[in-house]
Amino acid sequence: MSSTQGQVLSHASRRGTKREYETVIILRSAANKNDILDLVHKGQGVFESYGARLIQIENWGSRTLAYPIDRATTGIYLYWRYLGGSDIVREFERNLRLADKVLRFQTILVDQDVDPVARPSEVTEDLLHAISEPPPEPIVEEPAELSHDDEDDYNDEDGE
Amino acid sequence: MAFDKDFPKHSRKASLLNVDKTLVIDYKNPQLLRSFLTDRGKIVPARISGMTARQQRQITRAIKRARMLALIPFSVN
Repeated sequence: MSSTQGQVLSHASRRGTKREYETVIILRSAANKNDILDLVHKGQGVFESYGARLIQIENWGSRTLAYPIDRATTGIYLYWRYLGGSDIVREFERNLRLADKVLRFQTILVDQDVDPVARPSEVTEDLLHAISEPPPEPIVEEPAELSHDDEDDYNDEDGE
Repeated sequence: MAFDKDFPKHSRKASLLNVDKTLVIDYKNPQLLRSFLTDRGKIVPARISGMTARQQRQITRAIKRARMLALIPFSVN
């Protein structure tokens, strides 16, 4: 949808603020490093052309699915967190639908009216390369004992 | 007033979330969410788990999101 570029697509873009989204993508376990890197680069391209910015990306590694999806019982989880307008989600998800190796994805609106300066990007070129490698050990989910960053506005909501 | 303070009309059950205030309900934490599911994978009602209405809404939303990502099951047979 290149024709939509350059237009004012949301009220947030007029105010100079962005929305913060997170997307979890489940890839087929057959996806190799190159597939993941391809997807990351494609995603980066989409973000750049839509003025969005990736602020965090994680590979959660291969996990057993709680129920089979498309007969697959395991999947590779990728976690993306980014700033952008509502148009970025549409375009990003359109790309994911076209990707063969993607089993499922889910995008969540984390925060609205985010000042882009307040969310520095943790993504480096090295990290983008390392993303094709699963984490050294499967992530053990501790019941959120780690103190959460205060800068996460949406966490603060829970504390009232 | 003092009477009400000493003997609240009803008190909340001690639950994971009411005891540990640092816990954050998040769909990315299936281990925590599992404690709000029955053995069959159903969501435990607030009257059983002692959640506030607000907490129950957050938990329900998180569970439904986690289910879509196959982090926790829809049902267990």
